[in-house]
Amino acid sequence: MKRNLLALFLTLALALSLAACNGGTAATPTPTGGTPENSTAPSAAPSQEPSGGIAKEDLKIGFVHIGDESDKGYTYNMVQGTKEMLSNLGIDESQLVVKYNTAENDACADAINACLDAGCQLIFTTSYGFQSYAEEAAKAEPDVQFVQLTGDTANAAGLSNYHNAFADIYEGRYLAGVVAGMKAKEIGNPKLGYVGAFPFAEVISGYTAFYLGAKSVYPEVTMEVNYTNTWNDADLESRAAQSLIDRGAGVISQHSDSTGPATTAEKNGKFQVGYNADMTTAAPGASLISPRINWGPYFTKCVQSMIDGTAIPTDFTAGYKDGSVVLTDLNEAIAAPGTKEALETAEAAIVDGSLEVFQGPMKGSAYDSNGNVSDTLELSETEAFQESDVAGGKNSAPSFCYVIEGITIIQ
Amino acid sequence: MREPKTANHREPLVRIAKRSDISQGKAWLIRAVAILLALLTGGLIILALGHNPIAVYKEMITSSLGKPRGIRETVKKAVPLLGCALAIAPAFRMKFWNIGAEGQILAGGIAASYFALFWYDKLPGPVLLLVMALAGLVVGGIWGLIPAFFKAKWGTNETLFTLMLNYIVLGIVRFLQAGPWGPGLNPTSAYPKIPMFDDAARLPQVFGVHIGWIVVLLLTAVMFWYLNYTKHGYEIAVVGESVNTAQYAGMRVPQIIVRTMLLSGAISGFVGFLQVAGASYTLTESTAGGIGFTAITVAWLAKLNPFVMILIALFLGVLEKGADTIQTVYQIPASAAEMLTGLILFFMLGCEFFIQYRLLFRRKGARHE
Amino acid sequence: MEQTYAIQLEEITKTFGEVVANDKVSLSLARGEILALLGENGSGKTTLMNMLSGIYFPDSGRIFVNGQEVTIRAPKDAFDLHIGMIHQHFKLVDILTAAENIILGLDGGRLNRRTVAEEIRTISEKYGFDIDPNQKIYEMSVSQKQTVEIVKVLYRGADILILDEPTAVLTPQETDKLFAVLRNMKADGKAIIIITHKLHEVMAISDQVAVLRKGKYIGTVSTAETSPQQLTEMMVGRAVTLDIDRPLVEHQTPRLAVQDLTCVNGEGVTTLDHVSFTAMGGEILGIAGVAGSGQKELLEAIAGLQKGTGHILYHPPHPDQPVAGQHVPVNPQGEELLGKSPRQIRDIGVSLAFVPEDRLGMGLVAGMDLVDNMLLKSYQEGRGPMVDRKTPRKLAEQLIEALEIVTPGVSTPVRRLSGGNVQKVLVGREIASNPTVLMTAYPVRGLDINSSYTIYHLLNEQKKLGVAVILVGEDLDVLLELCDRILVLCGGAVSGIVDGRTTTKEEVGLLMTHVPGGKEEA
Repeated sequence: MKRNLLALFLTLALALSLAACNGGTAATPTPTGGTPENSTAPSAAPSQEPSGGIAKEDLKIGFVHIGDESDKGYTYNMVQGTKEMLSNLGIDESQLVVKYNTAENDACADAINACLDAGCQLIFTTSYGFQSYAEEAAKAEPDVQFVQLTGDTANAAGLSNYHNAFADIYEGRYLAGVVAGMKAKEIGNPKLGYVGAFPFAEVISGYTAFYLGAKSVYPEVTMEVNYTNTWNDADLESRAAQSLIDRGAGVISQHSDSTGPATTAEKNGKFQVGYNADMTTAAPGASLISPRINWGPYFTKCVQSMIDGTAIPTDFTAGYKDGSVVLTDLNEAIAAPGTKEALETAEAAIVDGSLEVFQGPMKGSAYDSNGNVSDTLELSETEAFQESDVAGGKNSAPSFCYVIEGITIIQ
Repeated sequence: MREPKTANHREPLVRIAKRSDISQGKAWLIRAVAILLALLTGGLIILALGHNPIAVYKEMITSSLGKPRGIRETVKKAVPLLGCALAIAPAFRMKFWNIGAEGQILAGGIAASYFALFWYDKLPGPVLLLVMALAGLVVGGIWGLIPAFFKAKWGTNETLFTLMLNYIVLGIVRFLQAGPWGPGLNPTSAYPKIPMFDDAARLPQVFGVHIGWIVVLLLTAVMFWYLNYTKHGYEIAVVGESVNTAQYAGMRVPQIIVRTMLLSGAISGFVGFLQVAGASYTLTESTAGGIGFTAITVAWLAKLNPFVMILIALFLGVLEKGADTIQTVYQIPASAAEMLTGLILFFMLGCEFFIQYRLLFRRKGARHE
Repeated sequence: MEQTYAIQLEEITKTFGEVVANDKVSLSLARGEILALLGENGSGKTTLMNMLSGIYFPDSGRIFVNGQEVTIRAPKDAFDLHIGMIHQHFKLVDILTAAENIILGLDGGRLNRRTVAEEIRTISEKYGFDIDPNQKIYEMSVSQKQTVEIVKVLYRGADILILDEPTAVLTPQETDKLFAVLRNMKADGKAIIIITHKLHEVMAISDQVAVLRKGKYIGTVSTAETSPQQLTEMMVGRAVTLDIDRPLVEHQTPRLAVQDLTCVNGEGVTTLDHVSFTAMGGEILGIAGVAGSGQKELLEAIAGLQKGTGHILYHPPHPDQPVAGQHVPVNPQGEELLGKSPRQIRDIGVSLAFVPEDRLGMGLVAGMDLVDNMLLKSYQEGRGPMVDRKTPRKLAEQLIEALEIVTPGVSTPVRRLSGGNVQKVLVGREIASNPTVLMTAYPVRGLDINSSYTIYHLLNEQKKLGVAVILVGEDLDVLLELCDRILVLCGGAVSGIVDGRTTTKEEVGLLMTHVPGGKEEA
C-alpha cells in the first residue's frame, strides 16, 4: 500500500512538473493550446499578417498527403508540383517535411503536429477530408500558415492564416470531354460512363464539365455515374468501371486516384479518359488523355509569399490559361480523327474567355443524403453558371452540385 | 525373460524445474530486464535500417517528453489507454475476458456525440458535458452488460462475444457517419464526415490537455480502492480465482459478473466520451482506434495494479508519439512503434516463463559410463 | 556370495525449489521380497519412487538395477528396465477395454486380440487375478481398475513392482484379495515395494520396512522383528500414542433430520437414493463408502450447493445449550434447508460449517492470504462498502497460535502452506464461526500424523460442545476409533448405520459393497 501511494505521488509530481515547464502559460482553461513552438516567428505583438519574410534557407514546409506517389494519380501530381516549386525557387528537399498515407481522421491531426514539431512555418494539407483538422490547427497556431487544397471553409472561417486553393479543373474536364466525345462519335456509342468518388460538389462539377465537353461535339451523348465512396481503391474503382462498361458505356472517365478504370477499359476494349496523371503507360490501348491540376505555380506562389512576407490569398484558383490546369499528351494512336483540331479550337475558346463551360440551357437538381431534392437549377440559353468564382466572392472549391439532364446516377 | 535394454546414460543437458516461489523484487527485476532486452532488440532492427539506435531512441524520448507540445501529445495518448485499462481491470480480475472495450468506447462515444450534435444549443456548457459524460457511461455500460448477461445466464464464451460486438458498433458508427450524422447534418455535401463539435461540447483544458487527464488519475486511485478495499472488490477477486469457492461462500456469481461488466463497460464508455469531447472533438471510425486492445496490454503488463498502469500507459504513449516523430525525422516507418510494442510484449511474456521456472544445466563431470 | 539386489538406491537427493524432498536416501530391495516404504504424508515416499519410474530426475545420487548403474530419464527407460509402477491415481482410458489399456503404447503392429487375451489370462491365472480383458474400464469397480493397472505392468514384463498407497481406495475384503496376489508374485521371484502409511498393512504384508521421515532415510527393519510402536517412533521421531479419544456425550439432541434425500446429477445419474438419517448434536457421525458413493453430493446437498428432492430439516439447539451461542432463533419445528442457497441458509440463522474435500479449490482461495481467507464467509458484515479486515486478521493470528499453524505470517498466500497447515486454516475458520453442524470430508487426507491428531482433537472438542459432526472418511481404522455411529453409503443409498464402538471392519466393508436386500456392487 505504501509503495503504491509513493508511486502515485511520484507520478503526479512528475506530470505536474513537466506540465509546469510548459511555456509559462497560466492554467486557465481555454480551448486553444499552449504557446506555439515556432522559434523563428517574429515575437512582436500579435498582428493579423505575417510581418517580415523568412529567409529561403530557414523555410520548413510541411505536406500532409492522403496517399503516396505510388498512386500515380492524385498524390503523384502533388509531388510533381512540389518538385517544380523546389526547382523554381532553389529550395532544398531537406527543407520539406512530408507525411504520406495519412487517413482522414485523427491521424491527420497527428501528422499536422509532426510538421509543427519539425518547425514548419507553412503546411499544406492536400485532401478534402483533412479540412476540419487544418482549420482547428490554424486556430491553435496563428503564426503558422495553413493551406487546405480543395477545401471550402476558408472564406467563412475568417482566419488570417488559413487558406483554400483549387484550380479551374472544370476547364480541363471540359476539354478532356471533347476528346471523349470525338471518340464516342467515332465508335458510334453515345453512352459514357464515369467512376465518381463521393457525391458532392467537387466530383459533380467535374463530371458535368466532362459531359458538357463531350456533348459539344456529340450532342446525343448520355452518361451514367457510379460512386465508389472512396478516393482511392483500385479494386473498387475497377469493379465500378466494369459495371459501367457492362451497362454499355463505350468511353469512361473517373474522379478517383488509381488507374483501375483505365486498365479495366483496356481489358474490355473500351476507352478511357483519366485524371491527375498520364495513364497511357498503364493502358496504352485505352487511355486517351487526362486533365490534371498543375500545382507547381500555386506552390511557388505560396512559398514566395512566405519569403517576401506577403499574405497568401484566403482563396485562390487559376485555370487553363494560367497553366494551372493542363492536359496530358493526347494519345494520338487511338484518338479519333479530328480530335486534335477540335481540341485546339476548344482550348483557344477557353483561353480567350469566349467559351463558358457551364453554359445554359441546362436543367438539374441537387439531392440531399436521403435522396430528396434540395435545390434545382434552371439556366436559359443566355445564362451560365460561374464555377469557382473567387473573384465574385465564392469558394475556390467547386460548388456545382446539380445532376443535369442526360446524366444518370446508377449508384 | 527379456533382457533389459541399456538405458541412455547421459543426464539431460538442460532441465526445467518449477520455482516454489519468487520474491516480488526479483520478479520485477526480471521484467525490467525483459524490457531492456526488448529495447535492445529494437535497437538492432533500427541499426539494420541504417540509423543510430541511440540517436533514434533519444529523439523518441525528447520529442515525447522534452518539449511542451510533445508532453501534451504523449499525455493525450496515454489518458485513454489508462482509462480503458482501468475499465478492463475489474473484468480481468474476475477472469472475464473483456475484449470488447474497443466497442464499449465507441458506444459511449456515440451516445456522447448525440448530445454534442443535437443538444449543444439547448444546455449550458458544463451541463452539456455532464449529460454527455453520463450518456457515455450508460451506453458503454449497456454494451458491456450484454455479453455479461449471456455469460451469467447461459455460460456463453465472453471472449468471442465481446469481440464480435466491437464490429457491430463500428458498423453503427460508419452508418451514422455516412448517413444521418454526416451528410444528414450537412446536406450540401455528401461527404461522409461527422461535423466538429460546437465549443460548448468540448472539454476544457488544463495545462493544454483536456481535463480527462485529471479524471483518469482520480479514477486510478478510486479503482485501486475499489478492487482492494471494498466488498465488491473482494467478491471479484474470489470469483476470479475460483468460482467453486465463490459459490461455496454463498456469493451470487451471476450477479457479480453482470455488475462488474456494467462497471467495465461504463468506464470504457466514459473514455469514449473523453475521446470525442476532448481529443478529436468529433466522432469517427477511429475514435477508439485500437485503444481497447492496447489497453489489454497495459492492464496485463501492469498485473492489474492501477498505479503501475499509469507508468505503462505513459510508456506506451511515449512509444507512440516517439515513433511518429522518428517517422518524420528519420523516415523510419510508423509500424516501427507497433513492432517495438510487440517486441516488449513478447519479451514480457517470455520472462513470465523465467519467473515461474528455473533452468538447471548439466553439471560438469556428471556421471556417464 | 554377494546377493545382487533388484534395486539399490545410493544417496538419492531431490529438491524442489527450497524443499528437500529426498535427502541422501539409500535403499535396497532384494528379489522375492516385499518392502514397505513407510512414512508420514509428506515424507518423500512418492517422490523417491517417482524417480525410479522416470517421472522425476534425481539431483544427485545413483541408481542400480540388478547390480548395474542406470540413468532413468523417462518412464520408457523404467519400462525397459522392467520396473512397473502402479500409481495412486490410475492412468487408464475409461472408454477402452482392459486389454486395450494394457497394450496401450506398446510397439508391435496390429492388435491381435486373441493373443493378448491369452497372455492376460495366463498372467491372471498365475497370480490369482480376476479380470475380463474385454470389459470396459468405466464399467469396472475401483479394485478392478487397480487390477488392470497391475496386469498392465506385468504384461510388459515387470519384475520390479512399485505400488503407491494401493489400499487407500479398497474395501477390507478387496485389500485381502490384493495381498494374496502380492504374495503369489513374491513367490514367483518378483521384487515389490509398497508405499504406505498404514501400519497394520505393513505388519500384514511386508518382509522389510524402510522408514522415511521428512525426506531423510531413517532405517530399514525386518517386519518380523518390529512393532507398530517402534515404527511410529521412527516415522515421527518420538514416541506417540496412536489412540484416538472417543468421549461419550450424554445429552444428544437431534440436529439434522435428512429424509428421503434424492439427487440426480447433470448426466441423469442418481447420486443419492432416498437417503434418510438423523445427525445428533454431540456425536460424530462417520460416513463410509467406496469413493463416489454419494458422499460428496450428500454433504453438498446439506450445505446448499446441490439440488435434490426430499427433506433436510434443521432442529436448532436449545437456547440454554452452550453451542447455541448467539444464533437467531430459528423455527422450532425444524427449518427446511433443501432448496436454499448457502447465503439463504446463513440468513435464516443456521450456522453450518463445511470443510470440503477440495481444500484449495473450494474451501479456500489458494492465491489469497490467511486474512482474506478468513473473510470468506464473513465479508458481508459491517455497514458500508468497505471490507473489514481487522477482525479476520485477529482471528487468523489466534488460529496460528491455537492450532500451531506453520506460516511465515498472516499475509502469506495459503497455497504456500503445507497440506496440514492448509487444513488447519480451513478447519479453524469453520470452527470459528461457532457452528451447530460441522461437516468435513476426508479431513486428514495427506496430513502428517501431528496435524491429523490436531484435527481429531478439534472434532472431539466440537462434539463435546454439542455440535453435530458429520465426517466422511476413507480410513476405516480411524472411523472405527473416532466415530460414535457410522453410516455406510453404497451406490448412493444407505446400506446401513452401525454403532462405531461395536462394529467391525469386515461388517463395514461388507456394507460398502452390498446394500442389504438391494443391488450389489462388484
